[in-house]
Amino acid sequence: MPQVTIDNKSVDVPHGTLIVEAAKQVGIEIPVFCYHPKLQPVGMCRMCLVEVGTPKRGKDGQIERDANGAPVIAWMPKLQTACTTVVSDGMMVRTDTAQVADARRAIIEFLLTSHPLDCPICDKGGECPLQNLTMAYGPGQSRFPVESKFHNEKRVPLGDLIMLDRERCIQCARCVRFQTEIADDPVLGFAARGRGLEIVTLSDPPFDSKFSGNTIDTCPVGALTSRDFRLSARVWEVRDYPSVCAHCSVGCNLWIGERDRTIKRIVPRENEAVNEIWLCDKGRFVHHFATSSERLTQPLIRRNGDLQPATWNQALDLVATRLKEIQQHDPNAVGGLAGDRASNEDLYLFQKLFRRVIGSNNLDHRVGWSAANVGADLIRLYGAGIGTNLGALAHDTTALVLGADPEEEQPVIRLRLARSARVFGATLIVANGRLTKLAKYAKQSVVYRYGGESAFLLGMVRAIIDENLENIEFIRARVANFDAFKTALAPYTVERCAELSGVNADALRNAARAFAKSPDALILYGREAMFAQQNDPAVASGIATLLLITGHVGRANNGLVALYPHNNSTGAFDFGFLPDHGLGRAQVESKGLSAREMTCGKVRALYVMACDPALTSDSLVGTQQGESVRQDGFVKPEFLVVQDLFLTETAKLADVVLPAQSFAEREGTFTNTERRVQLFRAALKPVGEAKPDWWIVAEIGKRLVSGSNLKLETWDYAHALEITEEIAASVPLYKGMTCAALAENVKLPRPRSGQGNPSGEPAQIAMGELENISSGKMWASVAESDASAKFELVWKEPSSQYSVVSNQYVLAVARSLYDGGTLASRTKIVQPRVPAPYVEINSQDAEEIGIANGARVRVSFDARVIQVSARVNGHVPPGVVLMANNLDGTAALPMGARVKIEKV
Amino acid sequence: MLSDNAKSEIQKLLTKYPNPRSAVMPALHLAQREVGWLPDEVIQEIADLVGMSKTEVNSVATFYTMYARARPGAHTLLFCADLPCALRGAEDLLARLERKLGCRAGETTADGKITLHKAECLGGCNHAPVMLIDGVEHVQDLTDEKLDEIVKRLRES
Amino acid sequence: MAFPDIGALIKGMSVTLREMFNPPVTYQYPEVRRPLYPRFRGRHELKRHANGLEKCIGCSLCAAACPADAIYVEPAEQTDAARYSPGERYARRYEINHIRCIFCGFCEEACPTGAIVLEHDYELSYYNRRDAIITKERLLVPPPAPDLSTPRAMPDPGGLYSAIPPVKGGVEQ
Repeated sequence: MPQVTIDNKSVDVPHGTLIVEAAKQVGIEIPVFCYHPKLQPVGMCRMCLVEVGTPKRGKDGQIERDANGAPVIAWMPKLQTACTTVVSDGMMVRTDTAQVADARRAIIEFLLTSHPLDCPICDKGGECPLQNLTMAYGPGQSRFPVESKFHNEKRVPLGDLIMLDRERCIQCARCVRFQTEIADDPVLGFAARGRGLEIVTLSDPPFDSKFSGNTIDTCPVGALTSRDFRLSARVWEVRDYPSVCAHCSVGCNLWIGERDRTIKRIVPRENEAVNEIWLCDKGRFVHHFATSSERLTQPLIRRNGDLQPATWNQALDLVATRLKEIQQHDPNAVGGLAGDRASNEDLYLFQKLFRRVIGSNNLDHRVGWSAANVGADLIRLYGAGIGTNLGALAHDTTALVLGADPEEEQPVIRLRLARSARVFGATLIVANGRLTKLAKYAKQSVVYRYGGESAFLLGMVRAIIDENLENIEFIRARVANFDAFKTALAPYTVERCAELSGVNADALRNAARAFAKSPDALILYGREAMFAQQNDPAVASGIATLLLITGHVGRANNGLVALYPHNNSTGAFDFGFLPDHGLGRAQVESKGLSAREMTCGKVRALYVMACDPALTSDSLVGTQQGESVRQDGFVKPEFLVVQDLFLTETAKLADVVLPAQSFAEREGTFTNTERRVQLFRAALKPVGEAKPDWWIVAEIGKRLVSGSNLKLETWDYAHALEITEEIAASVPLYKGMTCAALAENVKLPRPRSGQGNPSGEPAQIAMGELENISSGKMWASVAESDASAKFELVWKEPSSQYSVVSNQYVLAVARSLYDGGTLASRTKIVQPRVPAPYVEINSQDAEEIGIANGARVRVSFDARVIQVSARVNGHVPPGVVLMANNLDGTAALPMGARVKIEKV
Repeated sequence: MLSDNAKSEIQKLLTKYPNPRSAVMPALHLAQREVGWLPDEVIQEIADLVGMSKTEVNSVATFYTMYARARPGAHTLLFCADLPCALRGAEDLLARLERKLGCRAGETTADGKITLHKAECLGGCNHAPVMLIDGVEHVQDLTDEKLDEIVKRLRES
Repeated sequence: MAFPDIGALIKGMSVTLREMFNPPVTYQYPEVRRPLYPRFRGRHELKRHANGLEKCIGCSLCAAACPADAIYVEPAEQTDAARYSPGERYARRYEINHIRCIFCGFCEEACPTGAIVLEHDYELSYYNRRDAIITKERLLVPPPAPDLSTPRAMPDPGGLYSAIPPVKGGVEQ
């Protein structure tokens, strides 16, 4: 390791370290503008100039030494940029000399000749590197008169989300480099040169990137500002509360910036294991729902056919009375639906209410997302090892991404996987029924036929066995039934699997080799693979087999990651929101009713928390367009309770509506798609009389147990984190996930003393009592926690679902990141990004039908007809069309349906 | 916008470099020779051919001054504004020329005939001030009268 | 002692007698008012430029400087169609809580445009606490002419009206 001496402080650093990074290690700050630790160095701003010298070598190659035996240093005649100079052994660096100070002063003075002094009205003012470095290193006074300042355009919209101030730009290219290197949406660029240099975007729509907001954070001046936050507060007036994103399942850490009881802005919170320092635009901008004026502010009770305001006591008493009535008659006539956006605390109490008090297993979370149940056992057994970091998979890791589209569904995972592949050399194998953006980074991109997922997986398994690449030691030690499996697999040669899946046999073999030979390997599967699992049990067994015969389980960067849709989908599995699974993903003896059964009238009472089955119920398929969706799909039970933020479609039908709090108003934990439990805390005061979900459930629980032989105290909680503690103590999967493990400096408001909560009101945890939230904690899969656990290979016959019928196309269903849903529609600024409903179609097929890109087409299936515009491209193979199911009028599309496409 | 011929020429260029992106500059030259300038559609076509984004190709095309991103006039004047010419009164002559043409340096006349650009040294300092017409005709020892004559000739052509 | 100390009484009364012939120091407020020094710090005013635009640009530096946390500023973006002040930002709400204010003048010193000035009005009394919060409408001085009020349609004047005064040490433009 080279040793470098910076201002007389020596440090050993790895080869290839830059001076600026080495200086950080000895606590010396070298000022920078264009350098960013996450970006490649470019040396554009010259702020980091330092004096650099290397030991002088004589003709014999030996280091020359002076009389004292110290090496003679040959100082470079000019200053060097610390951000591009790599250290070498014996290098000397001086950052504290007059020459360096002079250079810094000059650079600042130079930058300020074309930088307006409008700090008082600049959004960056207060957190601006240029301001800070000017204070620290600047000349204090400029030799140039203020009138000679260079002026330029001040309001240049770069798309709908970002505003550019050309005058303030110091041309460091951080934004351009972020878009090129990290986001890989190279839609920002320089135009012209010299003083005329400016940032432009020529994409359509402008600045077409899902990560554009990160350029605001990386901009070292106020040139790029958020059009949402813009000029609405000063940064020092905004109080930042640590939280976790409430949208997709990545669980990006963020700061909620609050002022005057509203969210002013959201900025990423650094967590190298989850989101590094990035955030997608949905996470950053879609927060207005929390403070929307349409939020429910008080309980509503249906009286004489209308929902009318009521007090909490009235509403809760009514719910408890009615539930008790129905439960006493038949506990199984009570059903519970909970959305996978609710926190772990809410879900835990909700299932406790049903399982322990009502005595019903009718619990489900799969609303409008019928396939998401699959994998509950797979993840419990083979979930990726603790310490898995999707953003830093290296060249010794292979990741097989199966049936997923992270660009639209888990954008930050797409960004990080792409970076792992591009920068760190991880091998990506991207397999799907169509081409997604991630396929661009794959060493091998496989497009199988939809329905051929199991054949694809078995083909890989067979290729591994054929070439004797299986991990014999692992199989001997921990896997049962291998020989029987091999026998069953015998008729499925690689060629046959190739034919069944529509994949080239060599491609299968190559993928198999890469996966089996790699020291570490992961499988990530997404929504399309989950649909496949629902239809074809051989997909799940194929995934398990692939992992088991290669031994890629139970260690970091090995195992399985399911890419779920929502922020707490994993939590919903963990707390048993499945008819056939209980708390901690355990199998239950008496199976309950599924969401589908509950919404079509099989229960007498339905308690709906944080989801909208009337809008998204999958029993809607077959509804005619134009007719009211809910009348056909959702059957209102005798008694319907809805607990939500808004008066949803389901709430409009309800007998009692209870106003809940958004994630920004309460504490709790979410479990992200990698099974990482993360704490978030409240930033806002509650809206109106809204209460946290857990409190509502607890109050109902209290009322139901009073008078019975169950203990009342178990329903007494003062704040959400008491439930977190209870979960940590009582749910085996969440063992040790205490508040103290999830955050440092925990000082909870009141220690649990058994006296319950006298005021009966939920408490918010005050600022300062819960700080330094840790980077989250993953729970261990069985393969990891139990080194002696044995696994059994299960043979399931693959079944090909979708055969080609002439004039019909297989409908693949995707999701769009931006939609017009309950949450996103409250943020006006992202609305232009919501695509109009579309159908993607292969150019070959389009030619046959006679349609061009952008043409209006009629998509018909079952009894439903939808008119959308066509996107003709090569992303879907011939015979497949793709539609997003969360756009205007495209709810509840059936994956794999055969559709007809006609020109309008 | 590009002809098939030009496209296949560019395809050929791509193979000459280890990284096809490197072909962007010759491709731009080729396109400019064919179209006369580089409108947005051409930038997009080249971007698709060399595998870069439109914005990136635009960066290259705007960095180098000999790529025209705006439609040039029928004739292009490069007027030297470097030191030796300036010492011989080029600044004053340029101002006069701008008045005669009714447009500033870097712009095109309203009738679309003449585009005027300031240029760095054109290599005729011994006969300063110097101007280059349409990249071929070197006019030396410029005077107001000569300018009148040139403008008149170009306007009428 | 049976008699009071006559000496002390006389001494005291002599002061009273002497003062009776001195001119009175009491001002007959409110008929008569004390002259104020130019830098007296009384009630705040938000000043305007000569063209009627508000000097306040909503930068919140006064609020940041205020040791009593008496100032509340809610900035917003403005357009040329409805211009309040030079630049992109203006104060949509500007409030000073005079119950909190200690009249230290830090806000005046922090102001980059000389918008907030502590003037000479010291007659600050209110019937309720709410009235003691002085809103922007009450703080803002009237426009120099009726047609120079804000907001009005006007392009950004820029230049001399930018956030930072170009003349060193001067706040007036």
